[in-house]
Amino acid sequence: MINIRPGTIQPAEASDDSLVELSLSGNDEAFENLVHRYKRRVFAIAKHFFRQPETVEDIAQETFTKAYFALHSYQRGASLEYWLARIAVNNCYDELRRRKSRGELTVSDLTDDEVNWIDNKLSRISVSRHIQNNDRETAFEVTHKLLDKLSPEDRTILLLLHAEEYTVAEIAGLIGWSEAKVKIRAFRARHAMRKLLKKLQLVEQRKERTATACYPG
Amino acid sequence: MKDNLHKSDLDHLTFNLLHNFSDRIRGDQTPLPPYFMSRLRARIAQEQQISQVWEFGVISAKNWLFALSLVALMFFAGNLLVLNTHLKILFYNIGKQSINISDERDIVHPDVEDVEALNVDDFQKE
Repeated sequence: MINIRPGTIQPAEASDDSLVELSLSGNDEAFENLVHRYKRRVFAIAKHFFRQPETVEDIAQETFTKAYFALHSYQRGASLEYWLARIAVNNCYDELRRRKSRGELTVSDLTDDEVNWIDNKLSRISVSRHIQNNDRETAFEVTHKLLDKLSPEDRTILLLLHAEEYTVAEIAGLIGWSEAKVKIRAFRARHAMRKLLKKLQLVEQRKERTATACYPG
Repeated sequence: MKDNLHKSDLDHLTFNLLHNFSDRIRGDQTPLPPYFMSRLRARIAQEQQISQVWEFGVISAKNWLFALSLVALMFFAGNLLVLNTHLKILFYNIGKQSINISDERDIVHPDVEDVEALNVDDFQKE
């Protein structure tokens, strides 16, 4: 066990618990070490939910501020990363709920490339489900726009389940829902996403039919 | 069957979109905001100030509440004493009147002149 005295912290060697203890005793340097250790993780969580850099930074600031004042409630031996993730996810979820209604997703929200890409993916002729390297950027943009149109609950569940790959039990612990509620919400979220994708496909098909009708030659 | 397949395709597309989305974010090596730590320190200091003001307000309010409760209790106790005294006087007066009434032999109501005056002995005989 490494004996850490105030003012002689070795950040690479100190465990999370020892840094937490030092922070609670008033050592700000220990808390800053914790922030450096986990800020990328917290930023990554916030970036899953929001695109604007100012919002992402604000969420990260709020997360670490809340963590600072709630350090006494952290259980020694538990995962500090999970504890911080819980604060970050709840901040993101609260911010999503604070924002105004999403409106309907229409084809005009997407660029031509994005429309062609999704149309290609949704076409029954297309058997490839994998996203090719040159499509990744388009896929990223499309995903952001699709997620923007989901409810905060649906969006949160899909991101935690499929993007962050947490288990149902972990998600329940993160948001404070029961496992049953997480499963039901996941089912509804996938349904909502399917509806969005189908709607885009229908609109695109209608456009094509209209174009064919107007210009049969 | 076609509809189920299509549903399955949409689900797989959703999974792949989200995996790609997450990979892109995790792989993002954009440097973090340079002034993040200094802003964080300032934010924490601000929150500490607010919580100190709030605590001071709560403690002051607690003291005032305690003082007001004491005053209210004193008023209540005083009112009880006064009420007690009034009740004692009232019962005393009622008691005196009862004695006066029982001493009178004739019970005569000034409005009832025709009726024969009642006599206590009449009741006793019965």
